[in-house]
Amino acid sequence: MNSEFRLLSAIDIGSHELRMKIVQVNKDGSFETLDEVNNIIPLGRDTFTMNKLSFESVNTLCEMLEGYKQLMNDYGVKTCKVVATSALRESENKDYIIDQIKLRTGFNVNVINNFQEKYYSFKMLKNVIESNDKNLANKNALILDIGAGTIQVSIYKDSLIKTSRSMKLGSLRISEILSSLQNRTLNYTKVLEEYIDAHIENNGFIDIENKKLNFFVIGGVSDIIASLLNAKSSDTQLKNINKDDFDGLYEKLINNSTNLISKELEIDYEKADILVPTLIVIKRFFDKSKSDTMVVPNISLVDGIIYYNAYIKRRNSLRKYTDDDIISYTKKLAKQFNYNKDHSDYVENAALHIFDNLKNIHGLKKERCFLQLAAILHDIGKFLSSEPHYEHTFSLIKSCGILGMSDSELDIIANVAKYHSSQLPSTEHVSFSRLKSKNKVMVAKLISIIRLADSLDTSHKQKIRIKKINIVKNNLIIEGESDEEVLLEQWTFDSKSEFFIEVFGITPVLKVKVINF
Amino acid sequence: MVEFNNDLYINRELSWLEFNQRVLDESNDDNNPLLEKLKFLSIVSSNLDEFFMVRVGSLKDQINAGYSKSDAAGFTPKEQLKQISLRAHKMIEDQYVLFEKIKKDLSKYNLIFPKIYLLKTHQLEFINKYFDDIVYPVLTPMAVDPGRPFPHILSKSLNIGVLIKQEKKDFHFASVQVPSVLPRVIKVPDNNENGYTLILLEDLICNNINKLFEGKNIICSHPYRITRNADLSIDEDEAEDLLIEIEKSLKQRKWGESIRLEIDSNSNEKLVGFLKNKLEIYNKDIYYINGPIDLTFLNTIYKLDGYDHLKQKKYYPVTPFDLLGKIDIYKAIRKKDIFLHHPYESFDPMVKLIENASKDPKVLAIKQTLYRVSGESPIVKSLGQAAENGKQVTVLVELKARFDEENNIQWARRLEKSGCHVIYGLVGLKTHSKITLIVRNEEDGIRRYVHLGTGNYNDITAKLYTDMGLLTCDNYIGADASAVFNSLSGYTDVPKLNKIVMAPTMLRNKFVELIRRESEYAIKGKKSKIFAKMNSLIDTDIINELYKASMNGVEIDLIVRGICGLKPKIEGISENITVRSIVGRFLEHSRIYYFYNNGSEEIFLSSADLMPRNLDRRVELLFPIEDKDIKERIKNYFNIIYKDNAKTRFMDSDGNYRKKKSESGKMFNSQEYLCQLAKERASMHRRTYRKKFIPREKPSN
Repeated sequence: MNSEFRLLSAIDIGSHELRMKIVQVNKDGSFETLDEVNNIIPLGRDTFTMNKLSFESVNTLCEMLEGYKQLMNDYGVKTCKVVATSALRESENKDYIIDQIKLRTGFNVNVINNFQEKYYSFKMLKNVIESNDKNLANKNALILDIGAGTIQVSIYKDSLIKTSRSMKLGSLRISEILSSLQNRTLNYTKVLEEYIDAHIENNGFIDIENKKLNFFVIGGVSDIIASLLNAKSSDTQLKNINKDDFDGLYEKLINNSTNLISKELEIDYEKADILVPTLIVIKRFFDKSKSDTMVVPNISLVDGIIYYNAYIKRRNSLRKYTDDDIISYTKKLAKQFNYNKDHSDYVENAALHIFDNLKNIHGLKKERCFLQLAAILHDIGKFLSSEPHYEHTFSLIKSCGILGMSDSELDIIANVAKYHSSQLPSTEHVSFSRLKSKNKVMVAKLISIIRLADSLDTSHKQKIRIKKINIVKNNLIIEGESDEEVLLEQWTFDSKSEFFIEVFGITPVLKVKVINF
Repeated sequence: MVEFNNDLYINRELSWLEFNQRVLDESNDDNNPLLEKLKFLSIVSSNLDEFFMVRVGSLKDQINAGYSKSDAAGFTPKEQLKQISLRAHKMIEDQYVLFEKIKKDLSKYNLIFPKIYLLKTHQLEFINKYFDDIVYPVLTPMAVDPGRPFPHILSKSLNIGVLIKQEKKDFHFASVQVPSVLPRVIKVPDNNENGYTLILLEDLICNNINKLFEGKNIICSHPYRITRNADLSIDEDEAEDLLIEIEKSLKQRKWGESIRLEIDSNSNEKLVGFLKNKLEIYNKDIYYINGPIDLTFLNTIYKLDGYDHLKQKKYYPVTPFDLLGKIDIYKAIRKKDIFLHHPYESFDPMVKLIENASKDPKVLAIKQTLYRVSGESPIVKSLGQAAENGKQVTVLVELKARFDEENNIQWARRLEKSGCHVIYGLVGLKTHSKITLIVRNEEDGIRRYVHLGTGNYNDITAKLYTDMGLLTCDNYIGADASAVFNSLSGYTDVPKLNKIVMAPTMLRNKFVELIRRESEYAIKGKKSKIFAKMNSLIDTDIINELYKASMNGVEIDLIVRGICGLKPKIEGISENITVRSIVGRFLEHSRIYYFYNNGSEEIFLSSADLMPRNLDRRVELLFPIEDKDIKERIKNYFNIIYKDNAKTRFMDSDGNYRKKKSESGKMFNSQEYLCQLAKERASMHRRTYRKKFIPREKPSN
């Protein structure tokens, strides 16, 4: 392959459709879409009702994937990222299916969770907004990402994602779950509305903003809605829909049957079927956003995956694996649990400072971000009760999830955060023993660092100003200054050093110069 | 809203018959060389054969299925058959009158077709010996009696019906097939060095019929021919494998019901009655032929050596203007879109493009749709080789191209064996589009080269059909081409297209939209114009749109070679519409659609005619011409056609076609002019080319 450009492809095995995109990434970083294909395969219909995928579906899926492979060959594309979302993630037989796909097509399927999925599309959305409309980029926004299985609602502020929540309200899922009721009521729409409202009841976090928000809708059949309304686009990628127009369409379609919609609007039956639930979901959030237009960017998960792999991944590595959106999201999450910002910031900085100075000793790279996130969140368990707060920290992280993090990465972060305190990791603990063995050592290294960092601010008063960290012979020497006496810190540091010595065979030494004392 | 009544439309079949009449009229045009006239007679016959097999066959099917809805012109299938029979009888009568006339003219050039009894003794001896040695051994007479049922007579085969006197019964019937393995035309030795004396095989057999039925009393023997229904209807929904299903129905085609009987006009009434009875044929489907049955054999006479002076001078297609002096075709395409105008300009660049692509290390993939290809198609060969060379080759082979099915199945299998990804068409749709995509891995990225055309990828017909093609590497068209193939391959459900418009999903709406846009300008009092050239115009909805546009004041000039269901120049309806048809030495085949668009003229080329089948049941493509030079060339092409008064016939409001006499009396033949123009351009280039590159001689001191 030429060095002037490289080719990349991504496949999204979605719950409702299969999609592939092939792009050419030029030397200057620009993208050109070479090909884009999609087929409707409503895998979610199987999973959301029977909890597993049928063999017929898997067969069709593999046949399609073989076709996609042929298409990749047409361009000589060697790299393909294949991801799967809810339909496969929630399927009981997913491991067999992934194996089947591997055997039949050679593709390695990566099952991603909601937080990864939305992270990818969000990164792409940000890119599209920022490169198309600077004006839009600076405003606060409510982003609704509608998948077939789940929806994700995010708040975007000052160019960063602030908060994000996922709900199992994907349009295909709703239509599948409630389809049996369709023949039992004359007012199916009301049932739909009640179901949806019940699920989005507790979303106070949107109202907190209490301001007018720009409203973005990604995915689902939003592109169909846009084309039905002949949405004007300021450019090729962003389409605007007027609130009144949307409400008009909502009123017109809301009480119609799928058959009628499909016929009248000349759209595919499969798509018509999920149109009404989608409209209801959009309507709810459109109203909440108080915006008078809805922006539909023409992007999908495959765009996000390609953008991530071609650009973000490399950029993050240049920035020491720090992703502003993930950090911003995580801090907002910590704030929701009334964390002590000063302490958390201190531990975060200290931990990263130590990590960076130990580069040659721990040999870790991208794991830096796990340490950072664990440091930010390490005390959130205190929101529930102080003892044992670290246990609560662990379960809160696990149940809340973090933007962009896979399930196993979340496990790592939760473990690192959990063992910052008194308890030491042990294979007798379920949380730690569940980690893959290759990850156990890495997690132990991160734990030993976070413990030191936390001990430097035992008093939560940020007394010690770290001046220098370096390794001299078999010692890690941390030099600092303080205006106060640091006896508590020194004592904790010494006791928490034991685990560090155990892991690295290096003894940490804290030297604090007390000024004006 | 105006109600459009039946009077405003012409029935499709009757309109087609009028087209065939225009072909026949060429046999009567003294501006055509004698043998060309003869060739047109042959074309009329083969056209009629297909018409009966398919169109008449389909109408019979409709009647059998109890379908009795009338068409836009108000005719039920039954009424249509009646009209067809009347019109066809008249046409065939005219055809044979012309044949006699041309025969007489040909005798002036020592090409004679004598009755056998007029032959000289030595000639008779020759043909009788020929019969005994060559013909007799391959003949199989089949008698019909209570023990031997009426034999199966092959569709379109020529046969001789024989009545034999019987003692107790009235007569006995026997049939002999005129062997298709032997030449129909027999050259009889004569003293004439510059000519030919020809007799026909069936006459020879009739003359020797006694030898087949020795000892029997023969009442009479006459040639006859039957045509069977060949309307191929396949139940595609139930067809698991289209390939097998088509092979099956090809076999069935041989057994379709008899829909036409052609028989020697001097035949005995009893013979006719017997055949009519056995073949279950209606009186109106019997055609008494006053001369040789099946005039397609005239094509062999056309090909006889030594008569070039009675033919039109052969035209050799020249290098396309846009490619003159261009060595690297890819470079040329990158620089600007390339226009190909066949047959004036050669089709070879396309053949070579595929051939080179099969060997080009930079080429990753070749994708092509093939509808009708020539027997030993060099394109098919190259595609096979490309696959063997490791290229990704995707070929969509339309198995349902009528009467080419058998041929297509064979080479499609060959392609598959050499590693091509072969798609055998789509269920329920015929893929009629002509598109080629070449994906190349170039220094600065992946680049797509696309060819889009109005005609098939057939190197033989490209010399006879007027077609247009576009070679481009426009990014949007490239992406569209990929999307089209993706949807044909089933990789994607609904293709998103930027510039290309595809039938059956979007093309109809696009045409309506384009026509209405002109109307809107006309209503605003602005200039508005539609030029359209196609083979057939029979879609009622589109015709109505054109009527409405005309009523709004849009100026519409249509060049419709064949079927045209629209009537021009009707007061209050189509006053602003003209319809003309060109039938010349080349078969007019290009489909061009021009819209004035308030000055931002838009020109599209397409594989589609304006027929329901093209818009609703076929995969067709419409693509824009955006290059300024090419636009000018196409606009100029319209001007050239509008000047034609040699081969152009105008349709009047009654649906009749007439040539217009020019005021100056000068004849202008657009096809000949374009041949001339292409040649001149090519030779002009050769001259300048030489001028540029001849090195100066070394100056002498």
